[in-house]
Formats: sequence, structure tokens, C-alpha cells
Amino acid sequence: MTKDNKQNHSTDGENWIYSEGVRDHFFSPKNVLYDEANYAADGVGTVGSPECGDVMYVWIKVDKKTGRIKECKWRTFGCASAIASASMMSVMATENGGMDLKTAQNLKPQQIVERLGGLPDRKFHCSVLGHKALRNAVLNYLEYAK
Amino acid sequence: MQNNKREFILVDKKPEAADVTSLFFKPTDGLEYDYQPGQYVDIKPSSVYGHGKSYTISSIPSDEFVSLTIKKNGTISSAMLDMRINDKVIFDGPHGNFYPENQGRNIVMLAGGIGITPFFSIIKNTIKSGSDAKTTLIYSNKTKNDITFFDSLNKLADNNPNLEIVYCLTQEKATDPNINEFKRIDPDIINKYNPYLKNNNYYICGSIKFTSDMWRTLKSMNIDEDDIFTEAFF
Repeated sequence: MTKDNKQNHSTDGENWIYSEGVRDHFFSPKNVLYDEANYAADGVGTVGSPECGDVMYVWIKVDKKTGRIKECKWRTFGCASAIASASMMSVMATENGGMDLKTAQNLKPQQIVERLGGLPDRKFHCSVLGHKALRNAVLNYLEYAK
Repeated sequence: MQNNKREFILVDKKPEAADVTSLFFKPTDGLEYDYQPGQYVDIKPSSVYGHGKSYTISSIPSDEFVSLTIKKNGTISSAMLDMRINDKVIFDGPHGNFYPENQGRNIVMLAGGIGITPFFSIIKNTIKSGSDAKTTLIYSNKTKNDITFFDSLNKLADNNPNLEIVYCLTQEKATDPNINEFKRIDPDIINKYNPYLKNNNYYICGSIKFTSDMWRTLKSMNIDEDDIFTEAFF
């Protein structure tokens, strides 16, 4: 409910309770991978479970020379906040030449939330999904890079 | 490290603070339970419909029992605290990566309320391992009655020169000589007890608001974000 006591409909852009950043990444998600069959990822991370309602998959490619993430793709079964969190996470992981792997492992939910312009507390767990999925993808890469 | 579902039986309970109780469990299969201090398990009591919750393990692997220290604040926590001795529950885990990796750096822990639980486990394990890394715990609560593990933490600090504990109360003054500050954790407090700001790893645990506030506080002090680790309870 908004302060005008009007019901907040998902199609009502004027009374949307999410930030501009969340809306942008929900309506125009970046780096989505719809079919991973032909995507040669260097690392894959999965987090969540269908029973809990949120599942997130992340695929990364790593520049072997620089040790930085050069591509980060994702797909999630979840709400608008989960989609926006995953999209923002993928942008953060690949911008400015790509994150180094140590930083990527420690990409915090708070950083994702800040870049999105905020999330309601009840949706904070969506940013945690993004943090964990990226970390798992990096750990998967490191495991097989040995 | 294992990562599966196992049945545990409740063997003891111990009050730790206002609305906070430690529950002590042992696996019914009699096998060891392997975990890192700072990790958590997912639990759904059989009496609860729907999703369960995550609870941090407050014991250390060498302890006789696996303990969860829980604050009563909802349906699932109430169901957990209503468990009777010999009741059973399934642990799914352990999960999480909120534990210091051996980097040879001093550690600063910022804990809010029940966010003390992973730090209690990590501190005990650090001491037991014989590490000479300096640990500073800055622990914020509303009142003295809310401080979880007060006596145990003081005993650990009294016997370990590498452990310093700073208690902050936000809603009352207390005359206990162990209570140091009577305001929220802020840059002044962090600076006061940590003269070598840039040589530490910082760990933050508490509510969503507490962890976000502390993260922003550390950033405002130009602490490198790569040196900050967070775990929010929600």
C-alpha cells in the first residue's frame, strides 16, 4: 500500500515501491542466458531450490591472462527483486574490465542492494542469492582450474 | 565437508540472555558433524508449515554437542525453543562461508544483538587453534540483559590477551566495568579500539539494517571493501 492508501498494482508504474534501478533491471535484465547448451562456461554456480521458490544459476567466463571475469551470464526462477539482483550482479562482475576473482567471491549483498538503489528488507534475500551464486561460480572455476 | 540432511536429537537447553536460548544437539547416527565455525544450518521444525530458517552454529567442532543459539522472534524460533529434550529435528547443511580464512591479519568483528552467534564460534575456535591474530569484538545491544554469552565472552577475554571485547549499549547506562560505550557503533568507537585500521579484516553480523549501517560506516572510513565481510540475519 502506498502512502495514498492505494493498492500497489504491478502494472502501475506511478506507485511502484521499488527503486528505479530495480525496475530497470527487471524490465530490461542484462546478461540473461536462456539456453546454456552451447555456452562454454569456465565456472557454474547454483544457489537456492525450487522448494524455496528461488533458484539462481550463474555462468562465468574468466580471462586466463588477467584472472578477471570477462562474461557473467545468469538465469533465475524468482521474483522481480531476484531478477534485478542477478542482473545487477552480472553487470558489477563484468564492468570496468571485469572483477578479479577474490573480489567476486566477496561481492556483498549490500553492494548489490546499493547499486540497485535499495531493496525492501523482505527482498534482501534476493541480493544474497546473487552474492552466493557468483561465489559458487568462482569456486567452481577455481576447483577445475587446479 | 559434508553437505546433506541428518537427524539430530536435542540433549540440553541453556538460557543465554533475554529471549535467547542455546539448544544442544547430537546426531542420532552417532557420527561426527563436520563444520567450520561461522557456518549455519537450515532447519524446519516438523510443527511448522512452509519454509524453515537458517541458524548459525554457536559451538565449535571440538565441542561435545552442536549448539544453536536462538532468539525468540517468530513462529519458527518459537517452535525451536519449544522443543523438548529428546525431540528430533533435521539439520540441512552446514552452509555458508562466513569464517576467517587464514590470511595472517587481525580481525575486527562488529556484532549486533543475536549476530554474536557466528563470532562466538569463531572466537572460541581461534583461541583453541593457538592463533596469535588479534581479535577485537565490538558488540552492540540495547541493554545489558540483551547481551548474549556475556559471562562466557568475559571469561574468554580475561584468559586471552589477543582478544579484546568492547560492549556498546544503545538504550541504557550500566555500571558494569565490562561495559565500555553507551551509544551505537560509530567511526569514533571503531577508531578508538583499532588504531591500525587498514591492516584488519572486518566481519559484520546482525540484522539487515545493522549490517548495512556498519558496512556504510566502514566504507566512510575508507576501509577497502575487499576487507569487509558481511552476514545479515533475516
